[in-house]
Amino acid sequence: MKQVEKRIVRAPSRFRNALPRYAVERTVRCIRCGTCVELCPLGVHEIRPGQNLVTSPNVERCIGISCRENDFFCVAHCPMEALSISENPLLQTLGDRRWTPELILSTWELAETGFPPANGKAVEGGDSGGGFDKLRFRWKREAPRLESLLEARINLSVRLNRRDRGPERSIGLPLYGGGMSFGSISLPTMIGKAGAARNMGTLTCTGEGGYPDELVPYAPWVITQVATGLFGVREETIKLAPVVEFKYAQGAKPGLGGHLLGDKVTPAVAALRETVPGHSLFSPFPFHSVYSVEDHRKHLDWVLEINPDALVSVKVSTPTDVDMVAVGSYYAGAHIVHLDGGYGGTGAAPEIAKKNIAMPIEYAIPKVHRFLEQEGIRDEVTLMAGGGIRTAYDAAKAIALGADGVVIGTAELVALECCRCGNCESGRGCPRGIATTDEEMSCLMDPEWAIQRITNLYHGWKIQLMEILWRLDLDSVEELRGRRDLLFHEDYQGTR
Amino acid sequence: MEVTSMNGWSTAGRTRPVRYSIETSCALPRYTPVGRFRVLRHEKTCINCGRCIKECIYDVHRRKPEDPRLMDEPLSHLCKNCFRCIQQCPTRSLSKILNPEYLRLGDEYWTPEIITSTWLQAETGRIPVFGAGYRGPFSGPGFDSMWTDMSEIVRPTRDGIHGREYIHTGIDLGRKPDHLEFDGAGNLAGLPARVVHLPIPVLFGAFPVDLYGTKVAEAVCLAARSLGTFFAFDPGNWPSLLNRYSSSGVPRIGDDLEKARASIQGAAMVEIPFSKDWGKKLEQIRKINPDALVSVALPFTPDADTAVEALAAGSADVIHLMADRHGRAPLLPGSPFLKDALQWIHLHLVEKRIRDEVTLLASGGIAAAEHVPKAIISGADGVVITYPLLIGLECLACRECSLPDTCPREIRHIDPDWGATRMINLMAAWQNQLLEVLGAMGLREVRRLRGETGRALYFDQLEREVFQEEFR
Repeated sequence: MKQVEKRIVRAPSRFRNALPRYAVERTVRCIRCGTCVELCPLGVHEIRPGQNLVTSPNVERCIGISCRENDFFCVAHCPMEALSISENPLLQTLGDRRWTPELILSTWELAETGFPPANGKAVEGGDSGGGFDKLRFRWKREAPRLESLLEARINLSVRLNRRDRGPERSIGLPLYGGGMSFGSISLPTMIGKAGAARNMGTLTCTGEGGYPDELVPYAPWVITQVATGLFGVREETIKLAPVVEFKYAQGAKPGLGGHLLGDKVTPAVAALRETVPGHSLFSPFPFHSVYSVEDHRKHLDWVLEINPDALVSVKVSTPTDVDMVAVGSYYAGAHIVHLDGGYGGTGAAPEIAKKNIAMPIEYAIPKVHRFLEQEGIRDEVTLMAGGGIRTAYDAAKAIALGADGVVIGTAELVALECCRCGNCESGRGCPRGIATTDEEMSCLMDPEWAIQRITNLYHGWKIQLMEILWRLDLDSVEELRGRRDLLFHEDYQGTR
Repeated sequence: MEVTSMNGWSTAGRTRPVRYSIETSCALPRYTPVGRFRVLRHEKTCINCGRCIKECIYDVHRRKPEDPRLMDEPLSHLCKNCFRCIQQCPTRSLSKILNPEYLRLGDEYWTPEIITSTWLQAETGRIPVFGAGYRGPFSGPGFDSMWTDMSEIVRPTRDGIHGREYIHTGIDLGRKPDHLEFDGAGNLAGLPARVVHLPIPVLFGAFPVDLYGTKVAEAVCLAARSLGTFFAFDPGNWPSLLNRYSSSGVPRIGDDLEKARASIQGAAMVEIPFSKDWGKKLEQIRKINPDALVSVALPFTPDADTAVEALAAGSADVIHLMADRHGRAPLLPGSPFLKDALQWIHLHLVEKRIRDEVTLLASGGIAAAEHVPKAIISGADGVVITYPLLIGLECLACRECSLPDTCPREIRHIDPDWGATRMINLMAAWQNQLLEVLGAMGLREVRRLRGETGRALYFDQLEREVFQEEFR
């Protein structure tokens, strides 16, 4: 795969105001003496030229109560005691248990700068109280300086084809972008994903809404998806794709099929999917031509007949017998088995399905990994895991549990300043112009900016992944696979 | 007039079978809903530029109708948390906090999320659908510590869930003896088995008339009758005006059988509390009305397994096991959750090979749609609910009902038709969510779900298998 030169440049927020972690209150006692302006090296307080009014315009730069230890702490030095700093209750309204406010802010920061935070305080995960949020690495050494890390030449690439047929294919990072259809997301978002895949030498996926012409320039980096609706699947699109993904199920709505609400089926979306505008689209479930491994194989053969150079990936969700399903996919001839866990993102799914149906990815990975090992075929399949991977740390933990690489969806959208408000599905769709097909709202984002933001996120993750491998004393990400001994679980630590 | 063809298909241009589909219609709230957020506008710094009006696609911000030079108070309940107004305000005059009123709703079990989601379902009849994936904790206590399974390949089609190959959500109440007995003359000995079919696996519990008034009681009657399910009531203070609904009613009989004679005569099912002399009472009820099913209600006591066994071996038709409001069985050691207590009773009957002889109903802590299939997996045939119906009427779950006229939602004064529509909507949404769960599993009827623990995934078990052994 051709590497395109990538440059990491800042991609600042599309919005005027950042979300401040702290509130700086200035009471009427302020006499505008300017002490705080001179004191604060972070530039929180300011006197604007031509005004003798002190404002606190850059409150997002404030480091909060912990500043107490510094000799420039404004609150302590204000001669009139007019200042106070407190946690901003605004942040409690951002995010949720899986994506905490801190995690969303840190993902925004990664996407803006392209580098992990300099203070070494990377946010590892969320506050879900289980799974990845309870798993920790057993570090072997301290984090290195960035320079030594880059010199260490840690190999992050992953082979996608481990079978004896089909072309060699690798990705430069142990991750690729998950399927999100045109219809569920806007065109600029799709281009952002594809451009970032090109920049970072990995892949992205069209989802099941067809293959927009605008993606054709990125074809070497675009997986195309075949789902039961067969929306927009044509011979040409199969021929374009380095990897063709069969979607049997989706983690967030396992066993229920795709669902695009009528509001989002605009004329453009309908044209690409060859359907009627304004009507909800279900991907009928399941593939009613597939009731056995042999039927499944027939599908794969059909794709390989059209495009012999394609690799075939099979995306399944995580029922109790997920291990059997994975083995079946292998015997049908799949190169990649892609597990999609229940806690991942989606454009629209019944709440009851997201919360309750099928198991979280953290259980499915080791189950499948072990089963494939016992079957003696672990090294002939590439196992990708998605549906709940939020950070580079989640990715590394998934690999240590037994995956070869991970699939990313929600985190890419968060990089584009998704705030996880969850209104992707209805009316005009995403108010921030990410997961929408509304013509006006799709214009809220410039595709070039989108490419840069996702590229930056992945670049930041790349550095974090290298750092993780370094701290575990490993030279390549392939060595991390299945190293469960490098993990411990907070709840069971020391119960042996 | 709807014409139905022989095979249960409507011929009025619909593409769904008439059976097992619940008609919904919008029933708007009487009060401004409690939203999750409170949007704050800092009057001192706001310059009334109207930028927020442009930014907000949910109409939270508007100018004062009486003075368009000024911005009005934000309509917080419409806020959907997109942060656009906050991030684009030129003077940073907007902020928002979690609405304290929202946080005060209900308690740790009947969470604000459950309550507001119930309101929405009762209003629209639609199931909650959102984007961006799951947002809650990894797992939790009680029903939150289990997931339902799915089947990767073989299952009804997606459109089958809501259409051509419908999934059956009905249950049968009553005894299903495993063989027939005949006397010497070749006549059937004993009572023939009587089974009552309900189209949904949910029955309505009793709403004390003294607390909630006649209008709520009538709403419950109307909704139960329309859905084809049963509602429980206390004949002691039952308004005679509601006697016309008695065919859907389950009178709860106390000690005075004679006083309740009339209500027993008109009922398809009667409920008595478990006591030492339950057998005698049951016989007396059978004398008054041989056709009525008899349900015996009991809490989960330490000897509930043998009590239930005796009831099943006796001639109770239905056994109603009651947990507390939070789905706990406080009389058992460690106060286990309904799911575990139910499984204990269910498996005891399975072991004694009499599980099919009776119907098990469970109540207490059934707060959300997902709890129905989970209780059924745990061993119940159906569930009995009260509180969700009340919340469907916009109740704030403040639990001040015991004081007369303190209800902030004035629930006593609802229009019964409106109340019934809200309850029917809620049940329609619950039924559709049950279909989602069954459809994902590839099950075509809810009766097959009973006790099917193999169709569920348990947190404890998975943790043990996957993490505990490995990651110590």
